Amino acid sequence: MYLFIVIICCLTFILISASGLINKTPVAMLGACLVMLFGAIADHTLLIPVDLNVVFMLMGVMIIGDILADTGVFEWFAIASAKKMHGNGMLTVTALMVIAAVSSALLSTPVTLVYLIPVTILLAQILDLPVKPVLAMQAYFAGLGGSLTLVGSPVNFMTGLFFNISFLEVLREMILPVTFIGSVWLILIWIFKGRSLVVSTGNREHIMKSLPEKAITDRKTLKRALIPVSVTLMVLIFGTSWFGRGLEGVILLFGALVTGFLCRFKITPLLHKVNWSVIMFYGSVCILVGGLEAGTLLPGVGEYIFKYSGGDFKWLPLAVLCGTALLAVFVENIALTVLMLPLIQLIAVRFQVTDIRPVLWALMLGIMLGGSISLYGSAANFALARLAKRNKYKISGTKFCAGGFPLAFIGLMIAAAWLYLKYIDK
Amino acid sequence: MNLATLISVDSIISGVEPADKWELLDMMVDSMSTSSAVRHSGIPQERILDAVVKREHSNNTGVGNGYAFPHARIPGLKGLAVGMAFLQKPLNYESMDQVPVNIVCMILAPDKNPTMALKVMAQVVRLFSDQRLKENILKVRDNRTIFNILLEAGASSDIPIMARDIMNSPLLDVRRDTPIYEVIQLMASKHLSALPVVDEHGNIEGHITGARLFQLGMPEFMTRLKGVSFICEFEPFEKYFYEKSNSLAGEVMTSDFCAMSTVATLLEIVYALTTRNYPMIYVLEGNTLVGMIDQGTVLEQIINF
Repeated sequence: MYLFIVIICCLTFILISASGLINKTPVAMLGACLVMLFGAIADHTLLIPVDLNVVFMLMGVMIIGDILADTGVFEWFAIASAKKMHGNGMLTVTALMVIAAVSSALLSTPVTLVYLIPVTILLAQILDLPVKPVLAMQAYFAGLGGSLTLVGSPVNFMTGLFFNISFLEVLREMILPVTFIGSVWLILIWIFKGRSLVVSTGNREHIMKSLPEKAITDRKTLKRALIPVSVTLMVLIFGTSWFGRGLEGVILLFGALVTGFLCRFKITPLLHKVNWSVIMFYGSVCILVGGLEAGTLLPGVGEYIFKYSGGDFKWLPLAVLCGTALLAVFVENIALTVLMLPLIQLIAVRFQVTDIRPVLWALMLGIMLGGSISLYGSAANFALARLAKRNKYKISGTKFCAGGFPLAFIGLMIAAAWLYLKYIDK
Repeated sequence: MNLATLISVDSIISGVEPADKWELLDMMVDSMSTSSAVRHSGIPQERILDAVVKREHSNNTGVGNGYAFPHARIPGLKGLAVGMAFLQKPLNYESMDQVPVNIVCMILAPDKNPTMALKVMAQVVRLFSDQRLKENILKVRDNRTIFNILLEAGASSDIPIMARDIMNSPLLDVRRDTPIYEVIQLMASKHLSALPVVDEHGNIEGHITGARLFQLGMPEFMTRLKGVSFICEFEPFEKYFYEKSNSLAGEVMTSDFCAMSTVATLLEIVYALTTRNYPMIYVLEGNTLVGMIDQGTVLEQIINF
């Protein structure tokens, strides 16, 4: 009976979040409450899966992102690069995609897209570029860049912290496949979209007359923020040898708070910079999945995978890559990650493998590639769809998926080849 | 304090037919020169008339519905002086609602007690909201009789100021199917910060504010940018306005308006205008719109009296 309720709650949540019709946070919260109400007496361990380190990391990224965004730095990067490219459509869009990817790697994909979308629409309007494809391309690259680091996407946060993987390890492993995928995507976009990105001389003039230095609206705060943000990043990258692993969330939140105080923010405005809806969503999803674990569904699935594979771990990374990529198109990415992490842990124990990391790289790449073409599956793309719609650019979920499908498919092929060559065929 | 105690028989005017409002003001200042407050302060009549005329030039005191409250703060005046004129033949006072006035109440206030004057205004309006009393008093041509009627009415001026006392008559309203370009023209020509949208029974359904109209020309993404000064050549507003110009009032109006009853207190009104940042308060009697109050109204009537 208990398992039945948990499965109904999870399925309802998955269906509603995939439809994109209503806000998924209250749905997840209601589901979590139901699971707790029906299961709390039998099993008080339901709250354990909520990792405070992940919550701290989400908070830290949001606070730092918002402090920097308030200074106008995103607008500066966008307009300065557009001017540097002399308003050339293809080069400007390329610059916007690279900015999105790099910023996502440092500040996470959802934070980056929220701040880059407005200035991207502005530039696309000034240059008379097709707004919807430009936004979609930016979203694909933001997702790709986000998979490069531990703080780049919620999927990486949770995976890294769950399995104790350091920032540097993620960066070292992901840099090759991500850079390769990004380069191939760029070439494909230049070939197939180049014609639609031609800009008239008049519109290029508008960009050449712009004054990027005026985009920075708060120089004082930017100067004050740069040092603590850089130090935080350095500590994240190299600090695990000093502080030990698994403290990345604490380091990031500490850095964010220090940055905030140095920039003369009081604690209440700093906490207002946190998107509590995302935090509550994460907590609720953890409880929902915790319910599945308690209901012995996940151990059953783990056992099934073991039997079906005949105990051969070798091909598991490829299976996870393709399986999660497919699931990520339909299932909310944070929820999918929360579901997959304990499952992978169970599998690691059952297969008796000492190094589970190839599966984790496959998980990160799979969810990123599948999620990047799903408008409602990833929080970042959902934010993109909402902001675009408010500006009369209604992006259809199927068109977004269809447009990104070739890119995701090629990305999947590259990722599979990388996993095969590096971990399977060694 | 009874209203009649502030007025003397000599400061009441009735049965006169002044050529215009300036002549009426002259007559009223003249009649009030015998009131004790003016007499004891020794202020020349010309100075009082100057102050009243200056105030009238800066802002028309015809509040609508046939009432006018010419007033002035007179430094050195020993107390409040009130004079009233009852005009059997309504006079064109260039009031906001263009309705000619027949009850005019002149209030001369000392520098330090403007609230008292406002309470007098409120009391006069409340007193004559009794239509029978109003009709009766307008028929009388004897000042002593008018004074006695006021005395008998027992109107007290020691009462809190309410929405009905300071509200302006709703000058204009529009329907859901009014084209938005007409709404813009109306608001621009009358310098209105907000305009109510009402149904066929006069019930308010929503309102359109100046800020909302500006939003039509300001795309949403622009409001999310931290600044726009880095762009020197780009003005999308005309395009956005053009796209919205065929909209109807019902499509543009918002329902987050503030409505209050006629007995809402001044504190409630100021709170709504300042703390809650409502641009306009709509005063309702039942469901029907009977008045409007904005920050300008409060500043004009209370702070800038």
